[in-house]
Amino acid sequence: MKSTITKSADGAILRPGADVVAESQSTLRSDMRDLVASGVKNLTVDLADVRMIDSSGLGLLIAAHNSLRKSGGQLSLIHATHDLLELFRTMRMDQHFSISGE
Amino acid sequence: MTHTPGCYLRMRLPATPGAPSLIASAMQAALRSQAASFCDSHVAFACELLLREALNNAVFHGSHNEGATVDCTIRAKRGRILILVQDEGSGFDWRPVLHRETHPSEPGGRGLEIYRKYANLVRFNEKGNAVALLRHLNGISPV
Repeated sequence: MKSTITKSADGAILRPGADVVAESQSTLRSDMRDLVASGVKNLTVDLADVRMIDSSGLGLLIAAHNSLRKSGGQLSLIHATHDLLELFRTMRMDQHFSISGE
Repeated sequence: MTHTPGCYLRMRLPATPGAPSLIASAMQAALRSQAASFCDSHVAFACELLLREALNNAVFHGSHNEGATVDCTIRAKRGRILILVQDEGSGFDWRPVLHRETHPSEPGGRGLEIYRKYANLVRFNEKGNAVALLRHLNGISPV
């Protein structure tokens, strides 16, 4: 499923239409690269339609976070399920960018 | 595919990018067919994550030949789920990396960390092309 992208004056909201897993990450990676290349500094990933994120998806989010940091911006995650919040905490990702639940 | 209700799934699939999602869906369907008390949704999430990691490694790292297949067995009974995944590749030396803690800013290298944190037991074969992951259904989540 395709992602939805909403741009605003101070950033963009990217809402993946499916789980962020190895099978589907190339499209999402391309969307994120395009947003960073277009000058977006503050990117919010809306996880409302995401039930599962695997290690490749975690890597994708960290790569996006690293790119945004270099340009003085930041990554935020919103609407994470309880299981995804637990995953981010377990993998210590909550120490590096803002993550909020459903 | 063989499916004995409630306890056993055994599959051999082409090592294609869609294989992990296909097998994960089959496991979730098998778990849902059990009594509601068989395992809670958090344990089901942990088991699906472990399964996906094992299959991702087999498909994306262990299967380079055209026509390669991946074998996957899932046994769910007696309060635990056992996931066995094997590919046809040459394997890898898992010994120096199994207990490595990934730096938070590194994009890669989290698959084995997920094994350690979500499974009660992780075992590779000598060659490194097969992994067994055991998850207790009533264990601490994650472990």
